[in-house]
Amino acid sequence: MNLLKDLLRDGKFKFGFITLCILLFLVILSFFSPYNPTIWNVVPRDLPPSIKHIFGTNSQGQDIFWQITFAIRNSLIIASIAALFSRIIAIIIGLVAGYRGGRMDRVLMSINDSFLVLPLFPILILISTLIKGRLSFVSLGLIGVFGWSWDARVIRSQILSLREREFTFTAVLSGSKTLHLVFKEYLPFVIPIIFSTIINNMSWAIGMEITLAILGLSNLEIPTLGTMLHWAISYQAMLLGLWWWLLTPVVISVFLFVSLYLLSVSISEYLDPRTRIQRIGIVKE
Amino acid sequence: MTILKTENLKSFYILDILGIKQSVMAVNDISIEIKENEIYGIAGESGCGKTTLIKTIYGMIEPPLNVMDGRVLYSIDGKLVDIFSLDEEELRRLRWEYVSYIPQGSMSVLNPVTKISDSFWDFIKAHSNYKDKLEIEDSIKEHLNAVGLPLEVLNAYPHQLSGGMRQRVTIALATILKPKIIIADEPSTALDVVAQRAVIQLLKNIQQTQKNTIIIVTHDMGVHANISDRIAMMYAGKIIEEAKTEEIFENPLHPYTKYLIRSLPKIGDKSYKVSAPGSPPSLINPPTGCKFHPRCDSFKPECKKIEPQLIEISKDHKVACLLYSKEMGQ
Amino acid sequence: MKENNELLRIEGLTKVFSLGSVFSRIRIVAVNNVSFGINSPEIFTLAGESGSGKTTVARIILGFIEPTRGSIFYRGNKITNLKDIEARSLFRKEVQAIFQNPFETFNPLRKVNEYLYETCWNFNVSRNRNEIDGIIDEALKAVGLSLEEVRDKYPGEFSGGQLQRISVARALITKPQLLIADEPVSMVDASLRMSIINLFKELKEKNNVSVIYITHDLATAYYVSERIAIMFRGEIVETGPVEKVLMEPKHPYTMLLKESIPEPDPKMKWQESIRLTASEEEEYLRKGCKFAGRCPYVMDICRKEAPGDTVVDGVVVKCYLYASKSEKTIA
Repeated sequence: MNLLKDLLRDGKFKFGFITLCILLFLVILSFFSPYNPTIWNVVPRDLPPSIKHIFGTNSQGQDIFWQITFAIRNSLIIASIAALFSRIIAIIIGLVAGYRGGRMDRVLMSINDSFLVLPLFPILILISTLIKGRLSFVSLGLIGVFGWSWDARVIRSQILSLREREFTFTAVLSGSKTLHLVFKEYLPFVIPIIFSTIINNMSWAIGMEITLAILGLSNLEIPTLGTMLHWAISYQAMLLGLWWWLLTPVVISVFLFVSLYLLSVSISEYLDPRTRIQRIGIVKE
Repeated sequence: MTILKTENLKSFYILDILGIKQSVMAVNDISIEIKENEIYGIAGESGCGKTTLIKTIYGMIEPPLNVMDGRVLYSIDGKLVDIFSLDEEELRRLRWEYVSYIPQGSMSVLNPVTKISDSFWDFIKAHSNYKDKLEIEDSIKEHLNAVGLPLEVLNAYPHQLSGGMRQRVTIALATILKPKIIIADEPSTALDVVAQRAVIQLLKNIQQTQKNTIIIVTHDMGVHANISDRIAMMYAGKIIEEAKTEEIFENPLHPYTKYLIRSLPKIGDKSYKVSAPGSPPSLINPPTGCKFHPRCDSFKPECKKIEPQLIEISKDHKVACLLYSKEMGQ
Repeated sequence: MKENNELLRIEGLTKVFSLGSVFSRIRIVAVNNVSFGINSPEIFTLAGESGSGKTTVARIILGFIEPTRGSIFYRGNKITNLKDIEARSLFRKEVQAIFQNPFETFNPLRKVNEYLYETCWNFNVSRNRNEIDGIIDEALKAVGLSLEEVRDKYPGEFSGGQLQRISVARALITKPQLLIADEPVSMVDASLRMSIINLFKELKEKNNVSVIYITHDLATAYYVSERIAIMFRGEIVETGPVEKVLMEPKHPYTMLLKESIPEPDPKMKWQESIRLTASEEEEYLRKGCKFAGRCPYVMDICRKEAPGDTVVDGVVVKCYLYASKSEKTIA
C-alpha cells in the first residue's frame, strides 16, 4: 500500500520492519516444529551448531532452533496482550479525564497517580512467587495492567490542550456532540502517542518477562526468551562452553528490541501531526 | 551615501520531505541600495519573503536557508565589505555595534529571570570597552532619558511590564551602542494600537537623534506612512516597486501596489473599497514571468513569459512591470 | 423593555476570573456591567484593544463561558443558563461565529469540507447527500469559492484569506440571523481584507443578517458598521452611531485610540507623543475610572468613583467631563 511505501523510505523503518518480518517468519515456523517444546530429551544433548541442529542443542536435550521459534512466539504474545490491555485502559482514562475535567478528572488522576508510584518490580515478584506454578500467558499479560498510568497522563494533557484550540469551538458551532468531537477531532492527535507507546510497552513487557523468568519466578516450562535464558544460566552454559545455548536467546532478544524500537520511532515520527501536515501538501503535487 | 546594498541576492529554503527536495524561493534576485540617515521601509504581505530578506541581510543564514547567489555589502569606514566573507568573530563584532536586529516578537528577547538593568549591563559589557561601573550606569540612564523611557523600568522584571513597554525596552537595548543600522522586523505588530504608536514614535526619535539608518519591515501600510522615508514593495520574493513614501501613496504604479493602496480603509471615508482578487502565490511553484500576472487586470500575454526588471521610471521611482518598461522602449 | 426590532440584548453582563493559588487569588473583572442591544438587521462594532474584554463578551454570548452576573436575551427570550436542549440547538442554528485565526479555525488533520457537511447534517438543514452538496456549493459561491476548489483538501492547502472565507461559508449554512465575527480580518493580508468585510455588508443588505463585528481596527469599523461601542478594561466607555463616535470622539480613551491609528496617508503623521502605562494589571485593579492614570483631562473625582453613563448628543459616554452637560443622566 501507499502507506507502507512511504514508511519504507525511512531507513530506520526499513531495518526494523525487515528484522521483525524475519522474526515473525520464525514464529510461523514454530507451527511446523517437529518437536514438542515442553518435552525434554528428544535429541542428543549439548551438541554445538551443525546442519542438523542449526543452533545446536541444550543440556535438556532440546533443539535450540525450534525452541527459539516457540520462545519468540510466546514472548510476542505476552507482549501483545500486555500492550493491548494497557492501551485500552490508558485511552479510556486519558480521554475521559481530559475532556470532562472537574471532579471526574481529579478522581481519575488520583487513581492514576497511585498506580504511577507503585514500586512495580517488588509487586510483580510478590505476585509471581504467590502464583508461581500456575502462571499462564494471560496472567503474564496482566503485567500490562501496570503499564497504563504514564500514558494516560500524557493522553490527558494532550486532550487538555486540544480543548482550548479554536477548532473545538468550530466543531461545537457545527453542532458536534461531545463523543463525536472527542473521537473525530482529538483522536488523530492522540494516535501517534498511542502508537509509539504501544511498541514501548511491548518492549517493556518482554523485558519484564525475561527478568522474572531469569529469577525463576514464572512458569519455567513454557518456552519464552526469558525461560530459555533462565535454563541456560542455571545449567551454567557459559562455564561448560555451551555458548550457543546462551548466545541464541540473547542475540534474538537484542534483535527483537532493536527492531521494535526502530519501528516505534519511525512510526511515531510519521504519525506526528506536524510532519503529517507538512506531507499533506507534498503528496498532492 | 549608501550604507548597505544587495546585489542580485537569492536565498532559498531547501526542504527535504520524504526524499523530495523543494525550494522555497523566498528572496529571488533582489538588488537594493539603502542610504545613511534614512528610514527604509520594506512592505509586503505574509509569505512574500521580507523576513527572509532581512535575515539574509543580517547574515542569519541557518539551514534550511541557503544563499544561492548574490552579495550583501556593508559600507564600513568607507569600504564595501561583503558580509559573507567575514568569519564568526568579525560577524559578531559587526552585529550590535554596527547593525542591530530587533526580531519579530522580540518581547521575549529579555531574560525573564533578571531585572532589566542586568540585561543592559550584560549587553554593554559583552559588546564594548567600558570598564568603569559608573560610566556604564550613567550611559544607560542617559540613553533611557534620551528615548523617553522612565528610569523605573530598570528595577523591574520583564513580566511586570506591559507588552508595549517591553518592546520599547528591547529597542532601547538594541540602540544603546548607537549602531549605524537598525533592522526592525514587525516591531509593533503584536501590540495594541496605542502601544504601537509609542513604539513607532520611539524608533523615529532615535533615528532623528542618532541620524542612523532604520530598515523597518512591516505589512502595515499605516506604519510605513508614518515613519518610512522610502518604501520597497515586496511580492513573491521580488521587489516590485520602490519610491519615496509620498509617491507610493499618491502615485502607485505597479498594479499590486495600486490594489493595496486603494483597498486601505480610512476613518471619514465611506466609499466602496475593493480587495485584490485571488491570493498570493506559492513560493515553491510561483507563476512564470511576472509573479503577479494571474491576479492582474492589466494582464497581457507577454507578462506570462517575460520577468519584468526593476527599472527607474521617474526620479527615484522604480517599478518592475511590463506596462512601464514597454513605454520606456525596453 | 423589548423593542420591536431587537434581536439581541445584553444586560449587566459581568465576568470575573479568579486566578492564582489557594494562598493568593487575584480577581480580574474581565467584563464589568456591559449592556447593549443589537437590532435586526444591523452591523454593530465592539471595539477595543487586547484585554478590553471584547472576546470574553463574544464567548459569553456564544455560551462558551458562563457569566458571573447579567443576562442575555435573544428575540426577547432569556438565554443565559439555558437548560433546554432544543432551545440551545435553535440558538446555535441562528447565532453563528467566525474567529480570528483562520489557521486554527479548522483541525489541521481533517478535511475542511467535513465541517461544512457536519453543519448541514447536525442542524437538519438537509439530510440528503445531493442536496447537501448543493447547499455547500451555494454557501461557498457566496464567498467567492466553490465546492470543487474546496473538496477533499486540508486547511494547510489554503491561504489565510481563503480559510477565513470558508469559515464564513460554514457559518452561513444554517442561515443564521446573527453572526459574531471576532477579529475576522486581523490575520488576513491587507490586500484581501476588504473582500471579507464587504461580505458582511452584503449579508446585512441582502440577507438581513446582523453582525457583531469585534475588532481593534477602527478604520474597518468605520467602513462597515452603523453603531459602535468602545470597550476599555472590561467596560463600555462610549456607544453611539459610528459617524459621531469616530469623527467626534467624546471619551478621552476614544480620542486616544483614534489618534493612535496609523493613517495610511503620509500627510497625516502623528504630531504629539503619548504616555503609556507601565503595567496593565494596575489599570484593572484601579478604583474609580480605569482610565484615570493616563487621562489628560483627569479630575479628582475620576480617581475616587467610577463614572456612570451619560447621554450626550445621541452618544452614551462614561465620563465626568459630560456629567453636567448631559441631556439625561443614568446613574
